[in-house]
Amino acid sequence: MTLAIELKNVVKEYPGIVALDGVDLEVKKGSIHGFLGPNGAGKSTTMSIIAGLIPPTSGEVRVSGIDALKDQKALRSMIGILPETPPLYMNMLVRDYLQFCQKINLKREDASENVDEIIEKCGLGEVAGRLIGNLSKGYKQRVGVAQALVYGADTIILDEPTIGLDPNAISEMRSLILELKKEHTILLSTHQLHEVARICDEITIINKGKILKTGTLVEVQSEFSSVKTYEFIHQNFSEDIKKYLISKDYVSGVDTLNIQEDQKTVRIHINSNLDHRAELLSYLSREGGLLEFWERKLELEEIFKQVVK
Amino acid sequence: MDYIRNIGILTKKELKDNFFSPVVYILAALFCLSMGWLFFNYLYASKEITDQTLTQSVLMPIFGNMNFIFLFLSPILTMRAFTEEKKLHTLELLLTSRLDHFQIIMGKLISNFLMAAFMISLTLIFPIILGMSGYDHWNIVFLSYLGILLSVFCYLSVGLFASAMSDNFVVAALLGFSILLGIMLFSLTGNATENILLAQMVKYLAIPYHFENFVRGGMRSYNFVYILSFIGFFIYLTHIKLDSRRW
Repeated sequence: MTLAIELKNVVKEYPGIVALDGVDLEVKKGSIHGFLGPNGAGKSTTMSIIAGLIPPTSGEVRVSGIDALKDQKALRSMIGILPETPPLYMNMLVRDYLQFCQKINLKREDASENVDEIIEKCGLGEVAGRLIGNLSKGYKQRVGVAQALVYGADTIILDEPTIGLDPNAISEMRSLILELKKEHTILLSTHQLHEVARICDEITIINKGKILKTGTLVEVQSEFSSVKTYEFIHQNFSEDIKKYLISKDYVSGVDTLNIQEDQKTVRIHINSNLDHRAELLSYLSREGGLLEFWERKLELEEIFKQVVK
Repeated sequence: MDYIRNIGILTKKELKDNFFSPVVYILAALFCLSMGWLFFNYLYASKEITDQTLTQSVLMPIFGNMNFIFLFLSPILTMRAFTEEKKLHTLELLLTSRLDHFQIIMGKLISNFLMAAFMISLTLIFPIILGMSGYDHWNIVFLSYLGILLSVFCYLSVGLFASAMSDNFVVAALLGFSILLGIMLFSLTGNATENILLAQMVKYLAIPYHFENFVRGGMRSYNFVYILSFIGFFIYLTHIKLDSRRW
């Protein structure tokens, strides 16, 4: 497994505050890694440390195997960052701005990335000759992403790229991120949890400067699904059926969620690791009126709430 | 060579920004207006003063006033240099680029200096007018311009430091002006003591003391040492301030 980013026991202290408390993070090459946490959890601090904007108090930071704390110059050509507020000169034209970013980051002989190609890749073709200050927020975010790409970095850090965007712009940004995945590793911080669930290969949840959970979405979901929950829609759900279900020692609770005409949606909480679906299905079918039955997976939002509470 | 080229990239961008802004043209117009009016008055008054040369009656007071005006203009020229970058969050873009702090500071300093030089160049009409009336002390004219350019470079280095210190451009301008005024006051402080050695030492710290030597055509090597040390000192302070963002 090749790692694009590796943090080991990273600590960042400010006077009286421990912003990061022994953070360990691994981002696999070629993946989209979601970095989640409430406001003030330490996401931006971690990202700034990875990008070399601020040094950690202690710990190890490696980017593509290179010690990022020692070799700052090499780091600059390996990491591109879109901070929460894109660093844009409002009175510059999009193309001029990207060319300027390329010039201050690359030696003339290394400037192999074609600015026009990046403009096309980021969907900025029709605004390339316009002043950045006159662009919509969605386009400004795209210019910010293009800025992170323009000097050929393999790893891109996107700090809340969808913040303040309308649903269309969010959808376009999602497509752009998925497009970038073909050639780049992406560390993505966002509060749009459903977006994370859709596009991220792995997630890490941080709170109060500590990493709480990390892994693939399925791994994290299964970890939180040790207490299984089943849901079903039944036409003849009665108090007798409820009593029968509660009488089972592996059932910890039965809730009626929704009643529509004669159909009831019911949730059963299971406190056992064994699979009881066959038994439950058999009983509910026998009673007649079972329309649907499924195992309920925890949504990322619920996991997030549970982890950071 | 690549090192100088990097400074040039930032200088070019800053110059473009500044010349697209109306501020520089407004300042240049006000500067021309005040300098033109002063020049006319000194020239007119010189007819009455028969015991002084044109250098003494026109050129020296004109450059003295120009120096004084730039005491106010320089912090205004530089006030947005770093405050604007902080406001737009673009300072991180520069700090994470391959430009080092010295290149960033020099890029901004040179672009501001070129703007000031552009404003000063508008006064070249004065020696031309004097030349038409038979004035031919061109070495004094050359040294006076050299003196004002070096003096302004000192002011701009202070203004740039003030801009790095603050997040607000009004505060940056006021801070820059206050520092410069404090340095100017060394001249007066020197007059307050009867100890000649101490008086000379204190006066040496004031920029006008060195500027006057240029306008009189009698500059010495220590004038250059002072100016270079002054600029170097404020570049160093700005460097420390930029570096403190990583603390």
